[in-house]
Amino acid sequence: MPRSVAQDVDREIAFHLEMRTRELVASGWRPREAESEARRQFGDVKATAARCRALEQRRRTAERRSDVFDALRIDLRYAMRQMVRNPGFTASALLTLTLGIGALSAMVTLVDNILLRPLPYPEAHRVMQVWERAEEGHAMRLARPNYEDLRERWRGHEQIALYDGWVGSTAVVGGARPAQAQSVGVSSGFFDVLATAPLRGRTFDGDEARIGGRRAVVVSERFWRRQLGSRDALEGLSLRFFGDTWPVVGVMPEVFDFPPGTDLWYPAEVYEDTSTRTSHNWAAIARLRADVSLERAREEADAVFAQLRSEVPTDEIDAFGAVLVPIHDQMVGGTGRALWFLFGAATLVLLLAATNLSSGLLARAMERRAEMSVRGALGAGGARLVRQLITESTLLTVVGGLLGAAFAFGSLRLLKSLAGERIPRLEETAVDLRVLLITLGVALVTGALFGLVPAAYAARVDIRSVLTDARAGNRGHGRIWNLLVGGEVALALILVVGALLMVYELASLLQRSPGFETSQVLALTVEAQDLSTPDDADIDSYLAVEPEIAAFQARFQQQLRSRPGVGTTGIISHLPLSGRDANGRLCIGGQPCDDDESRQAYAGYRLASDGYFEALGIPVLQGRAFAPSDDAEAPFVAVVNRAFAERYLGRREAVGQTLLSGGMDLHGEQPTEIVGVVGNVLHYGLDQQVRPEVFYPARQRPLRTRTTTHVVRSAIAPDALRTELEGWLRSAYPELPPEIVSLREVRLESVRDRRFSLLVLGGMATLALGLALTGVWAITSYRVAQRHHEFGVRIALGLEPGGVMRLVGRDVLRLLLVGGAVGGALAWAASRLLAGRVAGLQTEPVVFLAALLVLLVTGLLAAWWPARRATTIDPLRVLGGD
Amino acid sequence: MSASSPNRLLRGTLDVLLLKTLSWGPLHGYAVSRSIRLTSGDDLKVDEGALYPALRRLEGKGYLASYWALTDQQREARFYELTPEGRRQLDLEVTEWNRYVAAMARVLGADGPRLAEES
Repeated sequence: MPRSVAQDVDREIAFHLEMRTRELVASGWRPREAESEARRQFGDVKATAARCRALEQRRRTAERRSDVFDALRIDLRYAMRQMVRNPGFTASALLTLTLGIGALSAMVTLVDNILLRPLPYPEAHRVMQVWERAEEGHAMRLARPNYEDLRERWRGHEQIALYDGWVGSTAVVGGARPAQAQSVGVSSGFFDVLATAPLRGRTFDGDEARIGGRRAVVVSERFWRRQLGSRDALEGLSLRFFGDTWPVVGVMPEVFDFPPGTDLWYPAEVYEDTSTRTSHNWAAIARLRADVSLERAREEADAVFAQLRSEVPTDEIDAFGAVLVPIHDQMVGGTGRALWFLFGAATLVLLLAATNLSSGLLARAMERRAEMSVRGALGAGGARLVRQLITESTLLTVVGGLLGAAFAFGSLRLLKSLAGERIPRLEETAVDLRVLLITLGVALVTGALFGLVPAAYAARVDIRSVLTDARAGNRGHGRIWNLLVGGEVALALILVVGALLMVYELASLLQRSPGFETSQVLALTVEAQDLSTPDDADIDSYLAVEPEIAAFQARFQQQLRSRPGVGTTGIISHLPLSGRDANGRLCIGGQPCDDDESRQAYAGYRLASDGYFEALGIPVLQGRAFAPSDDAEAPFVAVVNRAFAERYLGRREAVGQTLLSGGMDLHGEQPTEIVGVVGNVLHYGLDQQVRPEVFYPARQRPLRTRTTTHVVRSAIAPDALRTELEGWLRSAYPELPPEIVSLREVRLESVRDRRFSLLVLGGMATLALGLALTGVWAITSYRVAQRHHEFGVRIALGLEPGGVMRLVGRDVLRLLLVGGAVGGALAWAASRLLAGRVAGLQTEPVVFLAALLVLLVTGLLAAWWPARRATTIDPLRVLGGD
Repeated sequence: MSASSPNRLLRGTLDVLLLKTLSWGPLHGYAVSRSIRLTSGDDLKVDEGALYPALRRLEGKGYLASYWALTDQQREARFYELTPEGRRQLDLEVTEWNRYVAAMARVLGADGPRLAEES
């Protein structure tokens, strides 16, 4: 019997003194003296006792600690044995945890990386995207002269810079191999606004950032790595694009990715820009002064525009103010909403997982009531049993948490490879230690909580009642479980409905005709080669290059046409659905519009060759398409789309009208006759409206076809033609990237964001459905086991297997219908609520029916196996055994 | 205390003495002290109280185990016994001790410095 340390020590010392005294007395000492002699011989009694107490205390503590570890080891070993002994339960619990925790931590990582983490620029919250505000309030790109004035007069900013509003890709030679690279012209100050220094070399100097300045290019770390072999010394490295040679002067660090996906930055000042205040071609970023609030900066920028409007004739300026958007919001934009939506979905999945797990553990707690009572009766303390159960569920959740982390890693990698550059900041996303720790923390808490439920059950167990009737007391628990699984079914249905709505929407988008044929058409983008270099300061020298561009592209067309398998071909400056665009103001009638707003129009600007409309199957509705004779010598002509004719020409006959193309190219003053009207195409996206467009002959205004798209209608299988053309390109034009796409791919690519969201949501819906079905399966198995005896009796009384199946099925069906109805109602309400806010989201009854059908079929299938088991109950054993 | 005092227990030898004493069987603390007193006579004199912390230290190291039991005279006393680990430790220390003693005896019993040519 353990007694207190002090008692223990005192008694031992007292025993010694007493024995010694006795011995001394026996050898003739007088009792009094004998006792003091014994003490003398002993030494310092108090000090010795204190020392003994300390030693004893230390020993007991150490012993207790090793006892706890021993117990833990035993608990763990026992828990592992339990896991191995019930592989079905273990597997389903682990799967549930893996999926739930994995899905959530993947989404937490995405939300954290994309939405919450600040951009990798110093004080990024001060960096704004700057737009002009149109009269109707929407944002427009910046016009060059307005930018200059803003830079001079706006007091709210510290630094402002301009860059190409239309980010384009260009063919680059000089790296490891010819390639398409995203190139952006940036004004001086661009790198200062983002306050980022180059990784190697430098940014542009004053000799480069000026009209006609020395050529210089700064490349991305990615480009440097892939194309320049990460060479340390930049001396002697140069690239060729835009028909020029550009020495590489700097490399930006990997985190610098602005505008997203850019590989080449060159000084925007090199090319003179004489565009007007109504040519909206530029984007701008500004760093606000630290002492100026966003509100204040906005007011001051608006004031600059108000001032400009008072100085400039009204027809020369169409901006009414400025729009400032924090750069993070600008970059993340619509992705943010989609991501929060998916985050919600992931939370539902975890909720489902948790529900499954706790109902599973509850069921097991019921099954183990007998075991626990026996162990209790054999002397295991209540605390001991509770600890055992918590150890088991914690072990389960830790293993599940680790698997979940692995699942998150894998699914993020998959998402990255699928979505790539289309999702802002996805490239930089990685599962980090913090998320892993959080995940593990969640796992541990979950484990402890879920362990507590059955533990509480076990602790409440009245040993006698369990030993006498193992089946009693299951009714109330059955009802809770019913609720849990019904809830799971409802949650799963919500996600299935969401995913099916997206499928439905995507399918109807893809069914929508874009206004041109995609099946047999290939497209290749080609930059004119071997041009003489224009003097950038002189517009006339640009005009002088135009014939060279026209000649090159015409020659290329001719060579293309002579290849076997090639049908009709054509040139288009901005391929529909490709994301390429240019648009601007123009004027209807032969005279400049000045203040006459009734004649002003705004339209997409396109250059097309003869053959383009035919190659894409775009119908000519009135007049004619272009002819080879529409060249620089011929009268200036244009073709408009139907939307343009309806919007701006109204009841007038379109063919025969005259227009001035405005500031879009070098021929804006030339009266241009509309010679035809063509059918509308969905240029801006399958989910976008048709907008007015004007086409001009590529031969007449070739400047913007320096890099242009050649379309080819294939007379043979498109894939075979593609292979053949790529081979030809490689040998005939080794400096061109041999990249050919089919319009079918272009069309699919244009809905890639949706496909990505669909994929993620679809994955979650599948997970949710899988979890709910596991729940259905588990509850059915449990019911069958519970009614084992009853079924045995019924079978003995002549019930056919079909009857047994019906009995089980009726319960399952009721569960599915009730859960499905609740989930359906919730999903319906949610979609009605969101319909106004999320573009294209419709409440489609057919989708709800389909989702319910999916649920019923899969739910009944999940119940089928346990129901089958019910039919195989041997009535003789049931009756004999009880 | 003077360094030449003949009855001071040599440092560190108490442990081995205790282990040896207990190697014949479990004893309570008083019996241990008595046994040491009787077998060593007056040559090894120690404060009897010093025994008890030493016993507990050895118990903490796992060389001894203790339990309360009744003595022959029906008195309750704390008994100590050698654990298997303690027995191993004793063997180790005895070997060590013998080697030390032999070495000392050789040195102290030598007639004079050895000559170089003898080696």
